[in-house]
Amino acid sequence: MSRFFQGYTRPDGRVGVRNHLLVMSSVVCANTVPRTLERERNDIVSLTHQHGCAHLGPDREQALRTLAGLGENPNVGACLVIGLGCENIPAQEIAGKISKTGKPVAYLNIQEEEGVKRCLVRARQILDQMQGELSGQRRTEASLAQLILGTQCGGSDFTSGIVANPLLGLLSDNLIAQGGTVVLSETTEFIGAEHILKRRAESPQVARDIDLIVEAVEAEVRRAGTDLRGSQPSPGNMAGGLTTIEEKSLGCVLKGGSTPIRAVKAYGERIQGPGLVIMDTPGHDVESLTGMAAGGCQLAVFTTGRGTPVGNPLMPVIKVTGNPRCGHILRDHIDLDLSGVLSGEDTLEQAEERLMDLVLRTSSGQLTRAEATGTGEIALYRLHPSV
Amino acid sequence: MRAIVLDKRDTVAVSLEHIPAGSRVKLISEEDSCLLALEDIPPGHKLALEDLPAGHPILKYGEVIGQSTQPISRGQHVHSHNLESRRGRSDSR
Repeated sequence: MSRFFQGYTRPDGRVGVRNHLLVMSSVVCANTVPRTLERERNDIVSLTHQHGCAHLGPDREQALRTLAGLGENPNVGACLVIGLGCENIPAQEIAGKISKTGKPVAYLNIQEEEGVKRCLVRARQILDQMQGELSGQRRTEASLAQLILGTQCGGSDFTSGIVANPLLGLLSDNLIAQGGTVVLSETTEFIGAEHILKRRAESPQVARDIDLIVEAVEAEVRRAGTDLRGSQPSPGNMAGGLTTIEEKSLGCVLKGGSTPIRAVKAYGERIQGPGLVIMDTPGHDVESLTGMAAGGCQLAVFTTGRGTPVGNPLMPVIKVTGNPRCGHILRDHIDLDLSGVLSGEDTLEQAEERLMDLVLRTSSGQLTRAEATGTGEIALYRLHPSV
Repeated sequence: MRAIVLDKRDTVAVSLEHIPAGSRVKLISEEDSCLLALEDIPPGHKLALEDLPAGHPILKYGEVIGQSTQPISRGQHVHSHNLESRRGRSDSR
């Protein structure tokens, strides 16, 4: 049965599930402007971060790709980039990349505008004009084939690999069967389970790419002269019954379902479907979600055992748990409590229908708990420290 | 008291609730069976389905999740005190 949602069709043909007016810093030094605008207005999403300068080579490329990707995301209707004027990743360059999507984009540099106050004056004028354009846009019917769904697990415990992740795997298979795209992420949480993923690689190159990204994580651990066991699984994972990274990973990879893996993408790289795609992200929830949003995911499903309020400012993040305690204690932050599957009251198939229904409603405009409570963060995954 | 066996090759079951030492545990799997919990098992933690020597692979989901660091008896709690990872280690194993 074909399912549809109501979304915003963009000039580049992609469909957004939100219509955000985005103000973003190109560099940490410019953060004051987006932050001030965010305090003044309730019609923008303001993204500030700690980066944008003193990036080394490949790290610069990754940060540029990620920042531009956030602006390019189809959930963004229009974007204003604020820079300082001398940074390593100029506002102009980010805006230039975003403008290729055909959406309204502008940039301002604090140095050119003669300071923060005068930059704010210009920014307000630009935003008012952009808001005028956005407010006339309407949702139209779009098929599930237009969706790129991010998947994430955070605060995992024993229920994650038994209920929530297998359920998300069923949804992934279902979405892909209807022409959609699903992104599996968090490379650290493939360690111990990568053989399962490689078996489903579409080509020997994809299998090799999976090996490469996992080896890179283990090399980083060795380079730091330490042991993964101090960091992964986390203390909370362990208290919740997950003893080793292998055990955690075997539960995590279930989120991606059972279909062939088509490609392995770098952090923040544009995702092209259809099918199941891996993005190389760290096991850091906010960095991982940010990378997937930059790659073009319009929404994400996030499974949790212990519960977390984490969301993303551009992308609705649907929070799902199979742990009854979490479903109750953190009920303000959980969109779907599936603990009925654990107790046997619900089957996985019944639960998957509820989740698919929620994906459609969220895509058509229904707010997630994270959006309603305003809990959204971005963080950029860095390859090198600042120089 | 209930614990779930995820795959018939597994050497551990996952408790669905806090299991006090000495409890009879019903194992939810393809075949109904029971075992005796020799120790307290916190909710969501693992208990051994068979006796295992030290250095033996432990299986959950039908896959290796690590190896035992000491002999383990059927019904004992299996966690970081007697199960260790094989991956991401600073020592060469």
